[in-house]
Amino acid sequence: MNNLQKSAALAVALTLSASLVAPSFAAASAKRTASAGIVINFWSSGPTQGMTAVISQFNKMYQGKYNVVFRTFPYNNETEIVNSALAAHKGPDMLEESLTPSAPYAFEHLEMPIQPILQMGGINPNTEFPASMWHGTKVQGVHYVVPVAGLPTLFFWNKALFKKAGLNPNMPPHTQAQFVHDAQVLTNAKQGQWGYVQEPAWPNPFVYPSLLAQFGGKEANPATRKVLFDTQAGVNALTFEYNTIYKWKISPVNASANENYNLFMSGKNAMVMDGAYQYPPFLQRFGKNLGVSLLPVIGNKEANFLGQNYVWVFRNPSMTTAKERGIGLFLKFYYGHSMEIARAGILPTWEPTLKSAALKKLPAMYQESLALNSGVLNPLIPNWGTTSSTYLYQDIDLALLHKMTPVAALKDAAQKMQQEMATLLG
Amino acid sequence: MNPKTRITRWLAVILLSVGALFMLFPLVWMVSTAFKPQVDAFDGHLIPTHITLANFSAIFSSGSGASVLRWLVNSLFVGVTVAVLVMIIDSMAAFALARLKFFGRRVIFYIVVASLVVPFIALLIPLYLEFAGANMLDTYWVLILPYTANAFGVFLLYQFFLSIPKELEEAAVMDGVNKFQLWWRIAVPLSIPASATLGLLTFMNVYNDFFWPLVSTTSQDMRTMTVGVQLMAVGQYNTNYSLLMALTLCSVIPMLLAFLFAQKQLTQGIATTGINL
Amino acid sequence: MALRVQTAPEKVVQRGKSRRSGSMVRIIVDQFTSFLFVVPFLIAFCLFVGYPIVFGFIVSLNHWNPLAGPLGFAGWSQYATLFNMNTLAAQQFWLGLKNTVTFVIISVPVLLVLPTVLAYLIYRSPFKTLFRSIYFLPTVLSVTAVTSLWTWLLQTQGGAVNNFLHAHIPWLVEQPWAWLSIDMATVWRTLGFNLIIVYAGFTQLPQSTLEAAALDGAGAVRTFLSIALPQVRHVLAFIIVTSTISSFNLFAQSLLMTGGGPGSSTEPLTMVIYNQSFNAMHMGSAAAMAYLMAIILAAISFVQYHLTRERAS
Repeated sequence: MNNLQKSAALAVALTLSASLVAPSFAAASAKRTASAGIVINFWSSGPTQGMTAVISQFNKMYQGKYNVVFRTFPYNNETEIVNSALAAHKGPDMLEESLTPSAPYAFEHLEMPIQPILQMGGINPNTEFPASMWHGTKVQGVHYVVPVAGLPTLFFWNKALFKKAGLNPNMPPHTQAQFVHDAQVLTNAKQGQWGYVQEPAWPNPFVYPSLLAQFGGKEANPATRKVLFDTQAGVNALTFEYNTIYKWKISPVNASANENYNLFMSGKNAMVMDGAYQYPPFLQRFGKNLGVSLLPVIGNKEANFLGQNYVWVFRNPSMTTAKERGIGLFLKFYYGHSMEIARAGILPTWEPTLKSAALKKLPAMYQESLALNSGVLNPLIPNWGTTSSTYLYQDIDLALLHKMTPVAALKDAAQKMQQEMATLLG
Repeated sequence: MNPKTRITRWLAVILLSVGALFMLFPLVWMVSTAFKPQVDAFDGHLIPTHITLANFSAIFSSGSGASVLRWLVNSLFVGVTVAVLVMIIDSMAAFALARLKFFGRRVIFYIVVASLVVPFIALLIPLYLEFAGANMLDTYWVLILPYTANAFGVFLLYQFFLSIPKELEEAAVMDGVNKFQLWWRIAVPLSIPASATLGLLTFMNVYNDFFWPLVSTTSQDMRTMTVGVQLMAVGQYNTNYSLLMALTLCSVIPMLLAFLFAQKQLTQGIATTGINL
Repeated sequence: MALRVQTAPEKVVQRGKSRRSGSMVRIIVDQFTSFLFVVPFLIAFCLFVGYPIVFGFIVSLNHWNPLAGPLGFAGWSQYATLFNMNTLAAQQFWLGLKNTVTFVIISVPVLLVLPTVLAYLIYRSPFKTLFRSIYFLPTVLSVTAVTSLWTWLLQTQGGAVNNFLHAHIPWLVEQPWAWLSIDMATVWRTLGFNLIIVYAGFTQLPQSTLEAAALDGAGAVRTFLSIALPQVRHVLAFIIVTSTISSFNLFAQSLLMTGGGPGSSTEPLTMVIYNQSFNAMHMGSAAAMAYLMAIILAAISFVQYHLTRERAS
């Protein structure tokens, strides 16, 4: 290898890096000239439809005073991102997440009590938030979180498939018997046509808690940390799921995660129980042929698991009363514009909007607002429903794969999770 | 060539072609899906029934506040810089460890090799705290510096430098060159294929890394391509597979070009490293 | 790397030694200037590998919560806990290790044999560049891209693979399919890299040896086994050790393809450590797990290295 080649190779490498350095660093320095005012760092992994627009309106209105800087993350990686940042005191001021991940921070005294902040913004939580999303969210007697979006579990059906099977496309099933009957009519296993797809994995964390509550059960008691899903109600809920596959054969065996969605989208699955987040893609796909309603009553009463997004405020070194006021004003502004959020397909958690005539004109939003009345939350135990209830869903998985009976699966899960409860914060 | 050999050769071609189909099958689906609308992602048709460029226009329209081009520039810049730094730093270190004698040489070598078995997950928080303390999070520094400690590269080049015949070196010493010249004029030119291989592997590694750039950067402008892709297509509850495949396709193109450009170099380079000593 | 971790030959060039008259000072200066070559690397290594390793070790000796920092000295207790099978931590650790080892056992042989055979076929066939490129292609994809792609291809009901096979194989859902799926995606992505390395080894085969074998009337299989393979034995040793290390670090494939299921049967040790660290927030215990894993991996690599070296030489 001669010197010429060597210097040529080096020259290429250096030119390449130099040509890349220049624009990158120039752009980086341009970014640093942010607008003035108190910066409020707001991190989120939640749905961003509508939120981005509301934030830019707020920043325009409060220019020079407050500047909300919004950053989004992949949901699966939020814990390591947020926890690393907090460990280095570089965390956000506000975080949007589902409910139970707020608990560890509350137990570590890293969150600001939210009520004074709401007061500064002129928000009355007792009358202006839906009751099912405000009550049951205290940690050690203090409110730290505010609801910003509701995602109830809903029932979706394909009207075209109903018609084809000779069912009334505008009459969704209301009881367990009706549900099983309709599903059997809709199923043609040989042609890969299913009435319903029971997921062993996702989105069972929406479906199983819904059914459990319908049978009158609870997942756990957050005050005593006692696991409660291994009761008769829990067994009934899991047995129903099991029966859809093995007794009534209205659901395929061995469905992959999210397959209820994939098969529904391709017209091979007629009915779905899932979170409201499925509404926008379903509507885009089926338009007028999409039916949306409350869940059928599989158990003894109406109930649905309420997926949720909450916001909380971290006790950062940089937190000041002025910043707290800014957060209060921002929240008020956000709720004030919550009709825009609703139009973007996210259920707002603001009673004045929920009760408005404008919202009643959006069919899915109206169904969702009705579902709030019978909505149940996860118990407020650190990361319940996200990561700390892993054992429960692992064992449910095994039961739905016909490896364990529902009773044995729930018993095993309860025993492991009771042990795990002792290792969680709080 | 005798007929038996010819049969063997064509048998090899047939076997390799079958394998090649297996290798290409997922990629073909990826390309096909990138041109489908989201609702058709699971329709099971290899040839899209509705061909759309919507995914690509969504990627390159800057409406979402995220710029794919910016992510691409970040990834290329970081990848190239790290590759160049690693080639220089590791070449010097490997040269000294293999060809020069000094106190502690063995110890250094064994510590370097041993460090290869510690899982990254154990280092994440300490590394993060270190950069937070230096106020370097969310900058190019945090994306570049951690990769400059590339023990694998030292190991690779060390084996190569051991294989240089010592006569070459002795001749140079007769000419009265110093150690630095020995490295720069003899060792570096000889090791260009091996170093280029290391450079390419390093570039691929950095370009494809997910965990560290995800955790250490927060602003949209500092995202790398791999992180940006996940962020854009994978939502809290749903993945937009059509968009994801389109994004993956875009992110793969620079790597593909780098590979096609360097693939001969790569094979030769690996052949000359100490791997097959 | 020739797993022969040899140190430099004794008769390396040493400035000053040829001139015996050189004083002690000269030797020290000589050693110091040699040492200077390693300094840039050592700085980077100490800052970005050494320091985090030491820091992580200290964390493992403390009760440590990522939010609150150190919560008191624990000594070796968090390591001891991992040997007390009545604790959840120990159960998780050993189950995770079992799963990881399972993956190593099913992936390393495939990652060794398949690339070797393919590399030899390419070496003996026309269209070398084309085949090399095709097989190397998936290597340029990121792990996240590969897992998304395969998750989508392997859906039970609507996935492209099952459509192609006209079957309903529960790829991601049931064992042994779940392991097979993870293995397939991993092999698909990593195969090309190993192939290129072995191929490079074959190119060093002296043409005359092959011709001589052909004249002797040796068949293709025999030529491969008794002439080609010995030529690349050190490459194979290299692949065994590096594939073992990378298979031990299995993480993204399990997390994104099977979510660790069915049950927890594909949940590798790295995932256990990750959950313990960031979700359960027991960083001290997670660090102890990581270091115990490193020790186990180091021991395995050490044994492998010596076994393969003995076989190879």
